[in-house]
Amino acid sequence: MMNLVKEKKFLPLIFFAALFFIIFFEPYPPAKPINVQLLKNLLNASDKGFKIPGQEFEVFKVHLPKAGAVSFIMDYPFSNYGKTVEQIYTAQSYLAPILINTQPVENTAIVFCSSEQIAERRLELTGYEWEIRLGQGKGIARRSA
Amino acid sequence: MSALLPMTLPFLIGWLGAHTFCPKNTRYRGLLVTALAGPTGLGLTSLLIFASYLIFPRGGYLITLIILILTGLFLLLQLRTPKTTAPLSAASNKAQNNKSTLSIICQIIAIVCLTALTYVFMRDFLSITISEPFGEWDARLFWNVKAKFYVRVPELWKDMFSPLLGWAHPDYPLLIPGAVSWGWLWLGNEATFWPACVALTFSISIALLVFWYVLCKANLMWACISIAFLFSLPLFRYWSPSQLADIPLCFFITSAVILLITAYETHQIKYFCMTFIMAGLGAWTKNEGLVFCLLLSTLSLPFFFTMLKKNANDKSLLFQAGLFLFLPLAACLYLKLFLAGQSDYLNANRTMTEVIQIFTHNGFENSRIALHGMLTYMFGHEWNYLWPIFFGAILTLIVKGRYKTSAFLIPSAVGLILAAYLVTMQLSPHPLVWQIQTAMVRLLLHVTVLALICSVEVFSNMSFTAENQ
Repeated sequence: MMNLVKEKKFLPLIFFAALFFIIFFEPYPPAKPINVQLLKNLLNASDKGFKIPGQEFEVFKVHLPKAGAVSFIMDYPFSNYGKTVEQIYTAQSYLAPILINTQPVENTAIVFCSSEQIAERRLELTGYEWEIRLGQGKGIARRSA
Repeated sequence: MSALLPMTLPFLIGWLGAHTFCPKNTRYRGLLVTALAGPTGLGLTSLLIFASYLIFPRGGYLITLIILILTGLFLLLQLRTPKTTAPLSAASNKAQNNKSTLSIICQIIAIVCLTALTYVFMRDFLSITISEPFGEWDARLFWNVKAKFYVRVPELWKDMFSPLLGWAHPDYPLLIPGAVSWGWLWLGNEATFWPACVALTFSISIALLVFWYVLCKANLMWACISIAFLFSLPLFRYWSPSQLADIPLCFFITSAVILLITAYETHQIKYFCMTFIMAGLGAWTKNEGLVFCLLLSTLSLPFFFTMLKKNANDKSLLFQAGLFLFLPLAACLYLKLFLAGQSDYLNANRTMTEVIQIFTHNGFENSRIALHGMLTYMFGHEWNYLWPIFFGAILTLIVKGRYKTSAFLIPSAVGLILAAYLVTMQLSPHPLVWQIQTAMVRLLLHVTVLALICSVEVFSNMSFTAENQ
């Protein structure tokens, strides 16, 4: 301590103490417990035990072309800052390299509404008709002639 | 552990590359080379994937693999053992030799802090990764989606630039998608852990880089406490496993500035080359990296030419440095002009009068809002008082009147980068307040490590002692 006083090195000492107290008094909220089995799966490049985002779109995949663009019809028209954004982007992530057009202009459209009634109304408004019904407002639609 | 295997080749290439470029008399050379290895290797791999796909998409992965192996063999032949070591700065020897009882106690405290915080960081990283293995919004729905275009049907990879994916910014650079796709192509499946592994590489590399720099400039105590402080930042622990491009950009910005300082202090032109490599890879990471490249070039060019005169024999290094900066920039430019054809900023189609109006409207209202937003976030408790400490450090530098180029380099870089972000935010077609709310913290994260290093440098008395020698 005397050495530091002699060398007038108070500033580093105060700074060190400040850093120590900040680190010491920082609340470290408990993390979610680590599931060792899931960690092992991850490390072994396995997705076992995880839900892949967009899995709900798997049923559409077999009915869609391998590439190209399809429209995506939901309960509400697409808006950049709306609630439907995440759903559409998740579908895009899952279905890539198929391109999803947020506007109802492509020949084929994925219908992803919350009920049959809403789906019927949205198809009428956007000018599509059912091609494949998957139930509960979901299915594939084709642009009306 | 098979999910970690794709890292071996990029790490090896990065390590050998950094080893080749790193001057042989660098202190703790192995530590610096290791810190640079992962990100550099991943960045170069990403660039190679992009170039290979441009030439022959179907065999893009194979071409990349062959070039990487050949590059590795070439670099292996260049391998030499360093013979001499020299201190990074004059301060270091003095600081290293200071072994009073108090300093030993402080050193023990610092080591304990580092051990505890490393545990906390890794615990949080793994916990967040297991609960959200697909990363944050932008990683899940934007960066990794682009990687899927590389991987799923290579012939259709250019669809990632489709205007239909306008929300995914088709004109954004591709370091992260390239690095992610590399692992997926290697493993033969879209392994969930690989993007997290890439994210972890960048975070650990940042820590190693800071450790190296502070260790060279001061001593083990300051190096340990600096990393402990970095790991104590809730925002760093939160964004590290997010798999976004911000932590990687933070690495490239930090490494470029650190290497630039080292170049000034040691007068070794090789550090300039490494600075430009890092800046170039930063530009290949995010659009903000392009802004940084421009600022860094402005900051370093006058000194670069001065040094070039002193080192007349090293003129070939100018070409190498230029090449390493040019390649990522050329890739960015090609992507923006010929592949994407759509840009948030260019497509705004604003005239110069409109641009001026944006800034001057209602007595610079937008600028005031942006600045207020930035300061509000800076003084948030998530930063553990880092920004007030940083401002205090700058004030101390000014008050003490210890003007030294390298000491002011970090504050200048941080100031210029943040000023550029404030300007860009106002030019963006997106609502200003929305941008502040969604992006400000991440933008500040880019320069967080620089702010920390600068604060430690000033308050641990390093700059002053260095100058007094």
